[in-house]
Parts: sequence; structure tokens; C-alpha cells
Amino acid sequence: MPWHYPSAYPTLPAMAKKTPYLVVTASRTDDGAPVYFRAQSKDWSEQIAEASVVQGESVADELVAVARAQERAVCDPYPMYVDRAEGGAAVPVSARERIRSEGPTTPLRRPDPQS
Amino acid sequence: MYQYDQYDQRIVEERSRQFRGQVQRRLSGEILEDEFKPLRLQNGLYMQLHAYMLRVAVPYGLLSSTQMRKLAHIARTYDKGYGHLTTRQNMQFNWPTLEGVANILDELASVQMHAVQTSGNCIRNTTSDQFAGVTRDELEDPRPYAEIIRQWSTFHPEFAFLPRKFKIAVNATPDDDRAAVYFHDIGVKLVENGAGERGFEVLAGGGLGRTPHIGQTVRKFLPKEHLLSYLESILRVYNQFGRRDNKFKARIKILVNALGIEEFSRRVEEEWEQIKDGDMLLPEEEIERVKKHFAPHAYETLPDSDSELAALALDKDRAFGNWVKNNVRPHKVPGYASVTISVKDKEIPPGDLSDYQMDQVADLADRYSFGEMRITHTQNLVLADVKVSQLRELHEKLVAVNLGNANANHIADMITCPGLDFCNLANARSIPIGMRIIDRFDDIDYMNDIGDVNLKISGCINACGHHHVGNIGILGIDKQGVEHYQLMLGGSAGNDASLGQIVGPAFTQDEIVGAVDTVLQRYLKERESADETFIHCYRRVGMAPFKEALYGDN
Ligand code: SF4
Repeated sequence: MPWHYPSAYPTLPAMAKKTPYLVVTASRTDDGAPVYFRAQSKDWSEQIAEASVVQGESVADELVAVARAQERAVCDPYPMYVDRAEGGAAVPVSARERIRSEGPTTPLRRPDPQS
Repeated sequence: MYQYDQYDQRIVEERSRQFRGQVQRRLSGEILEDEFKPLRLQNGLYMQLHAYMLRVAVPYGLLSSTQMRKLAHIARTYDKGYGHLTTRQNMQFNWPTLEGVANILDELASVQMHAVQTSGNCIRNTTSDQFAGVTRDELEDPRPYAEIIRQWSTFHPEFAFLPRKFKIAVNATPDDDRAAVYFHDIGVKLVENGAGERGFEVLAGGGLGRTPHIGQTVRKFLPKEHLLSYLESILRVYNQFGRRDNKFKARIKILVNALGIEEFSRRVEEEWEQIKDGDMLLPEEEIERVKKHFAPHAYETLPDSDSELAALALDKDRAFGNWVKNNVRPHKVPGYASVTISVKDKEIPPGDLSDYQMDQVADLADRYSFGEMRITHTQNLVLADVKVSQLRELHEKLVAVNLGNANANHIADMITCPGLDFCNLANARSIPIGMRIIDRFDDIDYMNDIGDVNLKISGCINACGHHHVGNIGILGIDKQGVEHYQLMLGGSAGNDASLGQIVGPAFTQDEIVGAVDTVLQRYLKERESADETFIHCYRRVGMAPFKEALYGDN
């Protein structure tokens, strides 16, 4: 049956898989961009690789509480599960969070025709 | 088209000024997201996966070239250089900053536009037929009534906090419902009664989402002067009895089905008896006043062009001929035609227009179509009033800006919701699936052979992509943590309204495009002749042959 047209887009990993690791994320108030919490400097990075990774849900909840003090800068902080890449940096485990951290998987704007 | 009076203009400017103050308070930390969220939603501002999203209201999809140029300017200045056409005939921007939105609202107000009531539990943009006023098969132009409904519903104090969002559509073609009135909270159909008088058939309780329902008739014939009092009565019954305890049961369709249409209608009529002769009566003069805004353009007197149009469809330049055949339809004025500009192309998400394309279309509208255009609920554009003698020239110019595709009403002309690439609520991506289907059926001869068929894709059960009413519907689901796609067949949003049925187990993203192809190959084998469209063939042969083609004997 001719029904295999392999996708030009990545096959995404399982959604909402539980792992031992979590980071805290939110949407930045200025522009809605996804940002990730850095516990030590108590600020936010656009790079998930720079996020503070914690182990266990209760520790993550404590981090969310700290992050909540910054609700001028961000909206609705929440914990999310991650895997750890080499070097310990966080990698999202759900398709949603992966797309959120990397941007849409589709082209954004058609280039203008050459005149 | 409708022009704001001083009162309209003042209220929109005032609203924009208020929102700027709210943004400043949010940015300074004076208010936090919990307080700000209801304020931003009242101005059409959502938070999506990557950024804010602003939905701009385009009443019944009608835009002037000045407004389109303004949208292009907004896309270029405050966004990433493109906008997205929606199924409520609106345009949305996916990347504005909060401060930018305050400026955008000012820019919109300067061309009589706004983003009010494009989100939240209120009455949303009233939609209508994209060929309103120019099609031969309508009783009369439905847009004056859509405009009257817009004026009544905008800032209506009683209906600012309904149990859920509320959508109204108006249609005026008895034989061809292009406004999907059977799938709206209220559907309004212009009809004639036995005495030849014009009025409305009023439907309620239609809708898609997780529990799809086909709208039912509340009143067979409503004299025109009672339009607003009757709508008000339906809204009051809904506002009073609609469920507020459960978001998933709060739409009017649930109430209509819980009460039964007889009891629901009885309550509406009871309410209406109280108010029908009050100050909501719509005198003929008021209808005429609004109608003046939609007066026919200054058409030239030209010879009949039906045979010319038929000949152009067979033109030896096949790209042009196919475009005339699929994207051009006769106009009620001799010598003119209505053009659908397909915004479906394999290179770009369905319904996305760059700022450059918006400017170009605005110029083309000025040159060929009295400076107006329409957004369709199928995420395309229409130039409604083009001279047949200028079609070739127009087509060349559209091709030059990548808007000359000849796929209107065919398999590639799909509705696609934003899905997991943008939407917070999604289970799966829709846009990449849509783009791959367009790519698969890029061969115009194959597409023409398949003929009229519509495909609709939603990234979750909320059904923004209308999958229930696609002849072929695709629903994204999360199956054990991985994106999968359910295939549905047999839906229709027209006068022959029906809901699609699930064929069988869901497909992976690598399988779904081929599954659609398999269904269409089977249709080509099963159909009695090339005149039997997919939906008619499906209704004759049923699900079994398609199921067998997809799953074999399993
Ligand atoms: S159908 Fe679901 S995924 Fe698609 S736009 Fe609506 S809510 Fe989002």
C-alpha cells in the first residue's frame, strides 16, 4: 500500500514522559517568548540549555515558588520534565516543549519573489 | 462597505487608549498576569507557545485595500512579516510584542478596525458567504444583516460574559450554504415564505468541538424587523440556562440538546413575546440605511460573458485555464467574475500571507476589483468583482507573487488549524500534515481528476480546523505520547450538513498522507462517473470500501 511518505520533519519524542529531571519555564511578559529559570542568578534565559535542572517534583515546586516572585517579568511559571544531554544540559521530553524551545517546525514567511 | 460614524470611531480609539494604559501597568508590574489576562483577551490577545497572538476582527471578512495595506504594515513593523487568515474570516498575527500590540491597536483604529471580541466568552465575528452581493444564487446580499448583527453584538453589555464563546453566521443562498450556518451557535438563513415575503429561518445549537451537533430550526420564518429581538431572546435564554459549571458543556449546543429543540424554542418564543415590539424593532428605514453601505459598485455595462468564461477554462495555457476552471466563478453582473485567490501552497503554511503579498493583493484589488477583497472561512482571499476581460492579466500578476495556484475547492484547498506548532492546547501538529498533503497532490491533472472534495485538519478535539465537516477530516491525537492522526470521512458543512465518521485506528504522521491518497484512489475506482463527487460517492457506497482499502481484512 503506497502510504509511506516519510515526513520532512522530525518524528517527535513521546509527550509528557516523566523523568527524574525538571526545569522551570514561563512566557516572558514583554513578548511571550518561552524562557527558562536560572536559580543561581534568579533570572531567565531564552536557552533551555542554560536552565537550572533539579531532581524531583517537590524540588521543582520550590523553584516555581521562587520564580513566582518574578511575575512582572514572566507569566505563569510551571515545571516541566526534561532529559539531560551530555554535559548535563536540559532537553525537553515532550513534543510541545521541544517545539516551544526550538520554534515552529514549519517555514515562517515566504521570501519575496526576486524582482 | 460599512464606514464608521463618529461614535464608532471614538469608541474604538478610546478602547485602544485604555489598552495602552493596561499594557503599561502590566509592564511596570502594577498588575500581574492573572489580572491582565481577562483584559488582554477582551482585546483579542492570546498567549501561544512562542509568543503573544493578536487576532484582528474583519467583519464578515470584508477588507478595503487601505485596510489590507495597514495589515501589511503591521505585519512588517510589529510582527515577522506575515499574517494568518482564520476560519472566522479574520487575520491573526503570531509574534507581536506587548508594547507592539498597543501600537497595533492605534494603527487599526486609524483604518476603522480593532481586535475587540475576537476572543473570550462573547459574541465573536459574524461570518457570511464570501460571494455575498455578487453571486447569482442569493436572495439578497446578506452583509447588511451581518453588519446589523455586528453593531448590535459589539459591546453588548448583557452578553459580554456568556457561558462560552458565541458564533453567528448569515447565509442568503437557498441552495448553497457557504457560511456553514448549520454549525454555528446561531445560523441565520435568508428565506422566502409562501407569500413571497423575505425573512429569516433561525437555527440554533450547531457547533463542532468535542461534541459536534448540527443546528436545528428554532423558527421557520421570522419577519426581518424582528431579527435583533429574536437573536436577543436566544442569547437571553442561553445566558440564563446555559451551563457555567463545566467549560466542556457550556456551549449553546449542549443546552439545545439537553432541553430538546421544542422546549428550547418555547423558552425563546416566551422571551421574545416580551420584547418583540420594543425598541429592538428594526424598521425598514434602518435596514435601508445599512444597505446603502453595500450598494453595488459602479459596474460597466458589458455583454454577457458566460460562454467566454467557459472558453477561458479550456484555454491552451493550461495554468490559466485550470485557474479559470477552479478559481473563477460567474458574477451576477454580465462581463464580471469573482476570483478566489488560493492561499494554499506547498511551500508555506495554509492561510499565511506575507506583508509583500498583502500589499500586492491590495494593489490588485484597487486595479481590478473596486478596491475591496474578502477573507474566506476556508483561509483564502476573494476578489469579487473582476472584469472577465482582465482575468488573464490578473492571473499573471497573481502567479508573480505566488498566489496563482489553481486549487480552489480541491483536495489541496484545505482548512488547517495552527496545531502544535503554535497552539497551547494542541495534541499534534496540523500545518506540516497540510503542507505535505498539498505537496502530494501538487499535480493539477490528478487534482482535477479527483474533483471537488474538501479536507479539514484539527490539531485537537477543539476542532478549530472543522475536521468533523470535512469530506475528509483529520484529527490530531496524542496516542501513548506520540502524534497520531485519526481519519474521518463523510462530513459536510453545506445544506446537506453531515458529520464525518472515524474510519478506524489512527495513523502516524508518516502514514496519514498516504492514507488520504489511498482513500482518494479508492474513490476514483468506486465512483460511477467523473460527475459523482467524493461526498456523493461516499454516501452511496458507505464506509466499507474505504475501510477495506485502508486496513485490509484486519
Ligand atoms: S483545534 Fe486544537 S490545536 Fe487546533 S487551533 Fe484549535 S485548540 Fe489549537
